[in-house]
Amino acid sequence: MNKQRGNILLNVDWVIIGIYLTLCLLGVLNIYAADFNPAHSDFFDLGHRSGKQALWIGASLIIALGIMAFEGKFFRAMSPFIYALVSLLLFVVIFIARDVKGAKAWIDLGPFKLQPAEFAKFATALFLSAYLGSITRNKKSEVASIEDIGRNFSRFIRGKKVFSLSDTDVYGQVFPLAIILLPMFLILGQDDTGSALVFSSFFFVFYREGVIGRVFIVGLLAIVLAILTLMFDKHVAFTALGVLAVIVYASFIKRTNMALITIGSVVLFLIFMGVFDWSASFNTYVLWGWISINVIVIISVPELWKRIERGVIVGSLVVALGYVGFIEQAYNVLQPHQKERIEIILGKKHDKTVSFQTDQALNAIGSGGFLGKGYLEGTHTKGKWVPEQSTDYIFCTVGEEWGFFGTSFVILLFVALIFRLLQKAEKQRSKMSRIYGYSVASILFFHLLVNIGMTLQIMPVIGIPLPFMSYGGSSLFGFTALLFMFVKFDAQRLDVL
Amino acid sequence: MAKLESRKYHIALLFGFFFVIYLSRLFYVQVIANDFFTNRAKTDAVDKVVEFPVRGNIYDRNGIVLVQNEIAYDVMITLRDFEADTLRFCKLLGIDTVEFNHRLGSIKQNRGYSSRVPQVFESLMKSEDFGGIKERLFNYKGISVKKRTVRNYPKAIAAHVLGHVSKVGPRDLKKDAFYIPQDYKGSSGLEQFYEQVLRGKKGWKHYLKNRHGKHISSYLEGALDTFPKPGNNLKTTLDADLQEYGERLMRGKIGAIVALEPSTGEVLAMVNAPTYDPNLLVGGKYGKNYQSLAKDEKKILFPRAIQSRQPPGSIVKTLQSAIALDIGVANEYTSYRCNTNLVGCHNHSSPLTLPQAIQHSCNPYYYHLVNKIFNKGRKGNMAQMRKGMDEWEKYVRSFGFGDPLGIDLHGEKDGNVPDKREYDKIYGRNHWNWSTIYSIAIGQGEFSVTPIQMANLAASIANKGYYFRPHLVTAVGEQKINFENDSSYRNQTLVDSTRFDIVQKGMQWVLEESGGTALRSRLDSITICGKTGTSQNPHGDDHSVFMAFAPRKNPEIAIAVFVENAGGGGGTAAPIASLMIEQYLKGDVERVELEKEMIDKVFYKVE
Repeated sequence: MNKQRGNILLNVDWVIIGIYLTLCLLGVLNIYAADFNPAHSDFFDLGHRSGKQALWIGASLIIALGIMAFEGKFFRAMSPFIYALVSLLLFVVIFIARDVKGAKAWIDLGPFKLQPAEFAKFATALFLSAYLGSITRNKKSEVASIEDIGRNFSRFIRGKKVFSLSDTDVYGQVFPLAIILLPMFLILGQDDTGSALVFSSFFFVFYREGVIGRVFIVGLLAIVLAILTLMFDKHVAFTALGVLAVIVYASFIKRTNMALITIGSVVLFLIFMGVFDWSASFNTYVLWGWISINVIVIISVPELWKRIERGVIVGSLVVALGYVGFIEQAYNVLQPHQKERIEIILGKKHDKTVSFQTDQALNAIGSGGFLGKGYLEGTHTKGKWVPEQSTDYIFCTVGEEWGFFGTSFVILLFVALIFRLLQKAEKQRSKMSRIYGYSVASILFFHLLVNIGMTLQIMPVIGIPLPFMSYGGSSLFGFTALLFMFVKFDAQRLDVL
Repeated sequence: MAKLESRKYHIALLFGFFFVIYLSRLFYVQVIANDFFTNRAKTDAVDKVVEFPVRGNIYDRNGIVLVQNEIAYDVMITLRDFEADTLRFCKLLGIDTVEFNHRLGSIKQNRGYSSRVPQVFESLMKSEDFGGIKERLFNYKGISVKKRTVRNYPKAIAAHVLGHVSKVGPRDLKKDAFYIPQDYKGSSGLEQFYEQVLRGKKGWKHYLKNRHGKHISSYLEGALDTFPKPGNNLKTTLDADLQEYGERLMRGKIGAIVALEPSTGEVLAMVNAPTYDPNLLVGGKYGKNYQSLAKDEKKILFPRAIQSRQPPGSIVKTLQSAIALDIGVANEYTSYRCNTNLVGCHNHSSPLTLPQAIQHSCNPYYYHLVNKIFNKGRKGNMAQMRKGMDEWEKYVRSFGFGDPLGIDLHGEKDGNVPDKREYDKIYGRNHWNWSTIYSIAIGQGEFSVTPIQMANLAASIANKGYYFRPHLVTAVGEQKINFENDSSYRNQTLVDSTRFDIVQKGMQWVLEESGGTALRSRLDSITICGKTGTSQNPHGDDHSVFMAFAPRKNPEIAIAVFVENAGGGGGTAAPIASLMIEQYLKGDVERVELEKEMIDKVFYKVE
């Protein structure tokens, strides 16, 4: 095995690199379309966004090669300094940046505007995985002290293991949280809410690594349920709970019981409907269906009662049900202006310009149809109907000109990339590499979810770019560094970092 | 750690779950709801630009242009680019700053207003006004000009008949999908009646526009574009020379002239006095001019020829005679004494035969004659009177009275033929008798007709018992209107054709025999049959009425002249009718003194 070690080219994952290059290419093609001007149609003209983006793709490849040229260990050792440097930049930006579209996030470097927030993701992911990767559970019962913090830190810097007492102590939970929250707050200080929210994607990493316990999950669930209730209505929240419940039950129930549960649920569901309301809406059916399944499961699977843990889950689902009802009631008590404020935060209500933007975005995508209107033929794209179409709304160009064929292709490329990252992450020998892989996948997933969801009006309007495709140098450099760092770790997965 | 290991599946499941939702949403938006969004995108991004069709011209019977189009200019303002010294700009256009600000205010209320798209600031500026300021206007930034067409009336005659166009209102937009807010439509006269054929078809150009409303390119390479189709021309029955002459004669008078061709029902002239220059109601000055015309106390815009309802006066004596002859209650030699105790009359010999009664317009004669029509000699028998009245009413209505004749103009009035029900209503059943209602016999009282109905009576007598529905248009575009298949075109009266010789004889004597009421109006070379009338007017001087046709053999023109407050028919109306006939039949008027006298006769101050 060791003989292949030196040959980076043979060890890199060409699937990831292939998808990366494809997305970059699609990105620059669509930027050309979004910024199309028939009078000056030179693709590589540096006066155009497509020309600049092509230049930045070239620069990104140099960054990628640069990352590949160093050893993984080097980056592990450098991670605290990279993190510190980026944090400092984030801090400085607050004071020196000029206000651009409501955010103070850009440092003016002549022709190029640098957005440190885009590099903060990379720096944070690297530092967090380096830190978490170096923690080992110390079985001995030691009391954490200030001294320990200092000692652990110096051990960490020297590349040694860091000890923690349990999952819930200061090293295991508070430190990792702090690593995320510092850049998050600094970016919030730049009024760049979208980029700050990206850092919440690290919760997936925490979940995978067991950093966050049940309290976190419950808290997260409570927030999600509250948002679902307020944004849509309680039935949507119920439906989500139902799906969750089915997933939880599925992990408990033996296959032989499934038929019984299904039949029982249907019968009970019909009885409920008979007793309550035959003319109910679809949402109500979902609600009663969900209650039916729960009741049946509780009755028909006695072993659930033998284990307190699972009883607790069933009970907590009932509590969640009540909680959703409570949220809705509490919301209704609010004053109209308070409600409106909440609705704007949730993205349910927009001021006029925002709703114009999202409506036009959906018009562009929806009018694309199955095969799209053809490259450079998008009427909405050509008419520049969607503001920010080459940056945050680049997906609209894909939707209008390439249709469902194009959008599903792009989504499937991202799905392939993210699942490839998850799969590769799980294969890593080094804990750090795995954590880093999860970080990359989670960040990409969050960006995808919010960016595309925004254009499809199923997410609030939070301006963050579509990775690799949106116009912008900082964003492309940041994501390239983020991705190729993992490619590098993966290529060295046989080494223990 | 095994417990944590399973969490990788949770994450993968959660990610997968969202991807499925997103793909479903995309499928819904792009494939299932595609039509909805395509439509919405189209309304936003595709600009339909109208190309206005040219409205059809209107010609007289000899091909002389009565209405045509001329180029006018809409001055457009693009507010985003507009830079000017407001005061000087206003001065150039002849408005004040208050008006300027008012216009900007209303422009901003326009549907789909955008500061980057030109908006109409001054609409339909005439080329003579525009020419003078063109150069200076183009020096302003954000000012552009759009060519349109407006109506132009080279002869400036027949204003009421031709009508005018005006901007469509909200109701038009609602009622007829053809219209768009910038449209003009005919709102009176022929312009209104023939709106559907005159207006043509709009052309539409489709452009892709950007967010700011600016056009980027044509949409689908013009596949959806259509060319405007010009409106159809109208060929009218009017004789421009006769119309113009009639308007000259009616100068300073209030009233109407209607001249018909008896053999076809074609309207040769239709003069409404006072009239106005139709060019006033064109273009940017429309509103102001319309207001002042509408406010004038002489009711200038009132189309008297088809809407003024007046007692016909003595001209109905011709009709009464024909009915009496047809029923058989009289013959040519039936004579009555002129008993002025019954009803006032003027000096003439007595007794008179029927044609002489027409000649002298003897009122007592018709007191007796119509009484006889009503009660058939059974005096005091109310039942017979009611029956006789019904019969008389049928006869009168068969001459086109009591209902609109159906000319191709909107708003023609019906007039009133009194009947027993009306008298029952006024006086109470059985509370009236002949002495209550005798004024019916001499065309006064409740009897009312319009000038065009008067002319139609002349035409019916000229034709000896039938008339053709009066009409103004004979051809739309190249297509001649076929009247033959139209059952309402030829109308047979109830009076047999043989009865009219006697009536015509009396009418000829009106102009030719001594004692005739219109002796002054005779014409040596042409036999004119006419009848004077005085329409009693409770509010002031009586109205002068005259109807005539000529020549007696093969009549070519039937005419009615109605002049308000001008006294007896012989004094004003008859000479005017006679001059009109001379003008039409001879193409020139030799009686210049009579002509001058008539033209100089004015009833209100003329500038």
